[in-house]
Amino acid sequence: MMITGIASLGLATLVSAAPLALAALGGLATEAACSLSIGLEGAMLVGAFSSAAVGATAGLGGGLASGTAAGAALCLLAGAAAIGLGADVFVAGLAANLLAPGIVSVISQAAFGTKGVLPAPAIRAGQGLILLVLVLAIILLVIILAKSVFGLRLRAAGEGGEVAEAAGIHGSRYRLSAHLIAGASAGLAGACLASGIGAYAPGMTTGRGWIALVAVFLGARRCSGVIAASLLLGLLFALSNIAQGFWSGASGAELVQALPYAATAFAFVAWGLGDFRKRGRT
Amino acid sequence: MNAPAPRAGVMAWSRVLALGAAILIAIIYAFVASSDPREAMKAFFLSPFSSDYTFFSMLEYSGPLLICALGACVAFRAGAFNLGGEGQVSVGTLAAALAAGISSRLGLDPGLGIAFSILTAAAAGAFLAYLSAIAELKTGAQVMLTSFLVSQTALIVVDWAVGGPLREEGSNLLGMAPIDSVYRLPLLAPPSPLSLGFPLALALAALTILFTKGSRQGMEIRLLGKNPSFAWAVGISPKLGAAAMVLSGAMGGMAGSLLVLGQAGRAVKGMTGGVGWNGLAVALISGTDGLGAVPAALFFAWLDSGSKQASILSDLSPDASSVLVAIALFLITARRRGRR
Repeated sequence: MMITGIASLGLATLVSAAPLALAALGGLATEAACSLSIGLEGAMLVGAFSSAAVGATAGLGGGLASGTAAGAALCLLAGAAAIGLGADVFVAGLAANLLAPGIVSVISQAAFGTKGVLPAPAIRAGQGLILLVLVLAIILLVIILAKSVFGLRLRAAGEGGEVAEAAGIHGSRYRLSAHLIAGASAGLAGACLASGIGAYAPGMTTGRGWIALVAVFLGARRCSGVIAASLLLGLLFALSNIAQGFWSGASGAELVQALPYAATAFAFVAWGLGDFRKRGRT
Repeated sequence: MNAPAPRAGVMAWSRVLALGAAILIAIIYAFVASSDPREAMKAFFLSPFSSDYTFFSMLEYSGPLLICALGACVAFRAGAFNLGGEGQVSVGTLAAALAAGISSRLGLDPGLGIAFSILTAAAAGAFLAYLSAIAELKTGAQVMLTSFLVSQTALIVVDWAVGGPLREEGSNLLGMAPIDSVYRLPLLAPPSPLSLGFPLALALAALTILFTKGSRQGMEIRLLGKNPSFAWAVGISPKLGAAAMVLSGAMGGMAGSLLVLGQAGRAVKGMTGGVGWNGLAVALISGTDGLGAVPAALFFAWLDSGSKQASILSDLSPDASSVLVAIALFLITARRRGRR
């Protein structure tokens, strides 16, 4: 009884943590290039919508691919405005986040005649399969960021702009590809969310893209740290889901939904407190 | 990278150009998406002016929007990215409704009661922003993320309270009991929803501009946002940035009180409806100097009411306005090369 309880909590944690970790690693790519993309939330949303819209006819594979592409396109747009045209990278990311729900609603209205829930039973997949896709994507991203020459150059482009230029690394190209990676991974994460319920619903990402950004900072800007932070935040989501089922029908059940946000804020501040003390000592 | 900043006039023109481009995109969108583009375009651009009612509704909506935008401007000026506008508005609605209830129980003078509601709402929004401001000051946790997280939490709690324990008994509506009509803002052109909230918002805009442009603290806040290390060197405390954040939250709360004390006359579940995020967009489009926020808020209110009308009268989407504004935002920010 106890063991099955722990096992199911563990599985629920993984299911919540995996999309967070993937999006957060995408965010980490841009943070490593010193050009943090805050458009993850928007990219997850367009990824979820696009996977349901395309996947309804093209199936799971097509859905996931189109979700990835849509997220990548959105973040690339923001990245291009920031890097190519000199916009503030935060403002461009924010514009992407503001654009996402609007454009999804407009396209949904024009193509499907609804701005509400878009059912796509064709992309519905089991938890195991979705987890497998996410974990493979996470491993690929970790290899790219931590082990590949590309990842090294990305960090070089971020940390030492002039040195990197002298070494023949085009900083802007690397920063732009970091935005592409961030959008693609957030888009795939969103597509997996849609695939989990076999539908797109407005607002279904519920701030996960922002929480992924918290994971970037909580994880001290390292792949392993970001994954650990995502597992912690995923546990919060899992606990809140379980508590919601437990109290369903009770008068305060809705309040449980606030738990992940409040707890994430606490974790973020508490981590900052520790970090601040450490910096004070040295 | 140190290109000389373009003259203010040039910047203003580039903003107008970007908004013009957004309108052009709206026209193309109407042609592509609508089966009757002529009718759709007429509904989109002209319907807000078609009657007193629709025109005054548009003005009424622009009030809270303008206040949210001004709040966002103040925070941006100080270099604080306040993404919690939506939650700050939401606690403002709850606080204003509760305060109005207290006023009628105490039998306060109507003017005093309204002021009490607005100030309580401002205090509630300020408190929410204070949490993020103090967290950044003490621990370095980015305001951008904590303000969003705190705001999400507040939205859920307020929606629960308004639709749950505080809900009016026996009502079909998920909301609190209507507040006593004497404690609402007077309507200026009944039966339209235009209330005293709109002139109040304009007055607040004038005050904000005077503060940021004319006062010493306003200048120090701007300096803090532009160059934090220089500001530190000349002895400007980072606490001033926290104060700007709190002020920003107070404005969000005030915007919430206008929503409650205006036409609605009560706090309803989910009544913020994105006004905090839209205010943020308006602030960024207007260039965060406060002055531009007035025309930008009116412009947004026009697009918003136009797209809502067009969705009723034709087959366009009611959310077209937010797409147009985001596009305008891309165009505007992309023109700010070398200028932060």
